[in-house]
Amino acid sequence: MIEYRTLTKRMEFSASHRYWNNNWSEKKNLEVFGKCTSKYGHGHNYVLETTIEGPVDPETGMIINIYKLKPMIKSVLKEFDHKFLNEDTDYFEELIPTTENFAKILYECITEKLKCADCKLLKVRLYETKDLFVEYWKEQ
Amino acid sequence: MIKEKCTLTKIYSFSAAHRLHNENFSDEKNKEVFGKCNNPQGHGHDYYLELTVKGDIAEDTGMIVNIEDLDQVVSSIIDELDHKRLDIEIDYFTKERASGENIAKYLWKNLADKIPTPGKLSHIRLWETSENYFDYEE
Repeated sequence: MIEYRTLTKRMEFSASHRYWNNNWSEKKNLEVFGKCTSKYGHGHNYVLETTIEGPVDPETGMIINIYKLKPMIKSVLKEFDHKFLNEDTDYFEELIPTTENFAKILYECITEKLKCADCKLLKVRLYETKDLFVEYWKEQ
Repeated sequence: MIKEKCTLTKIYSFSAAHRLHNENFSDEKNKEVFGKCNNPQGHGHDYYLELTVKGDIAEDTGMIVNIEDLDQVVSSIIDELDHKRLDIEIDYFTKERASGENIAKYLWKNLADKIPTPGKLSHIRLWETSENYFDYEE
């Protein structure tokens, strides 16, 4: 019988963002997003937890080799690390870089890069601060 | 059909004292059941509340729930418990034991219908110490 298990890798990176909806007046932006509207952005030390699910390979005892997983996640995070999400990346021209939307983008980027025959990305958990995190996954 | 799922969790804290005691039990039975938590003068904890909200990400805000609005709602409920002796000063806990299980339930009952839309309360985890926590959801 094939045993499915999960593995979670934590990685830290830093980025800045600003919440702003172009379709709204300045007053409404301030009302909804408060200090997150600050013009030049503000930053966080994000922590991304990537959870992979798959069968354990009897030869290696692994779901996926962390030596392969770590550089793959790192290559995704490179696009965001020490960047101003709104200006320096292509993802947030229309989309507001909230923790919810950022988790969704990271989920999609990792899914695309995860070249693994049997395993799959189960979910991501993105910490914006120690006391605030978002989880994003997909279900049938 | 594949559906996206998203939850947001925020951690809050408050400090409170309590005594676990049942007036229908004898002194001996109270000590037997509740042990050192039966100390007549009470004792306290730094509680940590992990509040998980689920929902669809709103297109115009990019959010499940506005955190500033959520903070206000949660503060209004936990401020009532903060720095209080729960089984004496909070009506609910003069009738129900101020156990971790019941505090988690109290928080759910008081918060569930106040979560700012489009969010919906999904889960409550109440840490009483760094070694024990209580999960509650309906």
